Amino acid sequence: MRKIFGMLAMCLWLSVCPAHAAGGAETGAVDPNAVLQSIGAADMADALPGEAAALLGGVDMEQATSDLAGSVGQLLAQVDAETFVLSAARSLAKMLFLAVLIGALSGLHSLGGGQEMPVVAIAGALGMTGVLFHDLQGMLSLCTQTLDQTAVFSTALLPVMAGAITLSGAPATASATQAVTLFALSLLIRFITSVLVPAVCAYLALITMNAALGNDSLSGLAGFIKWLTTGSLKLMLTVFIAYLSISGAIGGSVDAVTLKTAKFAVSGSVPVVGGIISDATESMLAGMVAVKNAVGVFGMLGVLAICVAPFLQVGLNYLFFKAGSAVLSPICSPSLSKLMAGIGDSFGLMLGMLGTCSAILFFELVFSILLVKPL
Amino acid sequence: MNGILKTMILSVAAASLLAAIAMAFVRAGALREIVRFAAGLMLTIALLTPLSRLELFPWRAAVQQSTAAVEQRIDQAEQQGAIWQAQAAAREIEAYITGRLREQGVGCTVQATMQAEEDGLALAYVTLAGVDTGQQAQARAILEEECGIAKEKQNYVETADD
Repeated sequence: MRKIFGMLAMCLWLSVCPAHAAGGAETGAVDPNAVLQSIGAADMADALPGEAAALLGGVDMEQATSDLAGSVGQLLAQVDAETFVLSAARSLAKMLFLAVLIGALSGLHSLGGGQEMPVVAIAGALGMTGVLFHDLQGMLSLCTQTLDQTAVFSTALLPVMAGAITLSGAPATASATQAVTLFALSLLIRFITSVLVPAVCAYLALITMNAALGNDSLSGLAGFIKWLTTGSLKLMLTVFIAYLSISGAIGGSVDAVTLKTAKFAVSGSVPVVGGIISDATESMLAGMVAVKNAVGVFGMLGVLAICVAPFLQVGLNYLFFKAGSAVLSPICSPSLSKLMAGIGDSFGLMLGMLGTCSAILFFELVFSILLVKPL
Repeated sequence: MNGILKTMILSVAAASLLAAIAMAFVRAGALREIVRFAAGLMLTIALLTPLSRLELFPWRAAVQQSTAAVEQRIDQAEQQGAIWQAQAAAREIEAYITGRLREQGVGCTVQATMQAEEDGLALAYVTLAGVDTGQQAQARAILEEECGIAKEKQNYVETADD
C-alpha cells in the first residue's frame, strides 16, 4: 500500500510542479504528500484488497495520468487469463459430455422404436445443473465478493475524490455528485446481493425444472425474472447517469460563478495586490486539478484491478456456454438446448451485475476528471 | 425490503415448481381443474405472505451515512485549501514587493499576512524588516502608490543590527 501511495505522490509531484521538476525556480507549490494526506488518500490505498493491490503494484503510476491506456494495458497483462480460459473450458467440457451422452441415449432409444422418455429429459436437466452446480455457486460467490470489495473501496475513494474536487475549486459539484454516488452504489450493491443474486438462483432453478418437465410451463416465470433483473439494473444505471449529468452541470455552473465572482471582487478591490492574490489562487487551483485527476485515475485503476479478474472469469464462462449451446443445439433436445442457453444467460446476468456497479464508479470518475473544470 | 423481495421470489418460485409438477402428473378432467385452482391459491399465498413482514427501508439513515463522510471531507478540504491559497498568495506578494523595492534600491525582508473576507482573500498587513530609516518614506510611497497598500497596513520593524 505504501508503495502505491508513494508512487501516487511522485506522480502528483511531477504533474503539479513541472517547473521544479525541470530544475526551474520554486513556484511555491504545495507538497503533494501534504495534499494527499489532507484528503485521506492513504485510506483509499489501504481499502484496496490484496489481489487488486498486487495488480496495481505492477503498474507505473508515474505514467498513469499521462498514458492511461498504457497503464490499463500493464494491469491487464498481469492477469492470468489462461487459468480462466482453462476453467471455463472445463465447465463447458462437462456440459458437452453430458449433452452428448443424453443425446446418444435418446437417439439409441428412438432407433429401437421407443418413444421419447421423460425420465431422460429429467435426468439430463438435473444432471447438467448438478454437474455445473459447483461452478455456478463459485461464480455467484465471486460476484458477491467482488461487489463487497467494490463497496469497501468506494466508501474510501468517493470522500477522497470529494476532497480533491473541492481543492480544485468545485465544492458544490463535489457535494452534489460524490454523496449521491456513494448512496447509489451502496443501495445498488445491497439490492444486488439481497435480491438479484437470489433471483439468479431462482432463475437457474426454474430453467432446470422447465427443461426437466419439458412442457415449457415455467419459461414465462423464468423469463420474467430475467427481464426483472436486467431491467432493474438498466433502470438504476440510467437514472444515475441522468442525475450525474444534471447535478454535475448545475454544480459546475454554481462553482464557476462563485470562482469568477471571487476573482472579480478580489482583483478589482486593490489594483496590484488584488491581481497577485487572484493569480496565485488561480495557479493553486489549477495545480489542484492535477491532484483531482491523479486521484480519479488511481480510482479507475483500483476499480479495474478489483473487477478485471471476476469480469474475465464470468465473461469467459458466458461466451463459452453461449458458443457451446449453439454448437450442441443440433444434437440435443430443444429443452436441453434451452437449458444450456439459460445457464449461459445466468452468467450474463452476473456479468450485468458486476458491470453495472463498476460502470457507476467509472462514469462518476470519468465525469470528475473530464467534466469538472471550474476555472 | 430486500429480505421481503428475496423471500417472495423464492417462495413464488418454489410454489410454481410444485404447481408445475402437480399439473404434469394430473390428466384432463375435474381433478385437473381442482389442482389448477389449488396451485393458483398456493401461488397467491406465496406472493402475499412475505408482505406481512414488510419493514420500511431506512432510507434516511442510509442517505445521512453516505453524505456525512463526504461532507466532512469537503469541509476539511475547503479549510485546508483556504490555508494553502493564503500561503501561496502571501508568497507571491512578498516576492513582488521585495522585487519592486530592490529595483528602487531599498533592501529589506517582507512578510505578508492574509485574512479571509466575504469576497475571498485579502491582504491584512505587510511587515517590512531591515528598511533604513531614511528609506522608509520612499518604501511607504512605493507600497501605497504602486501596490495599493494603505499606510495603516504597513508595519516597519527594525532588525537587531539596527
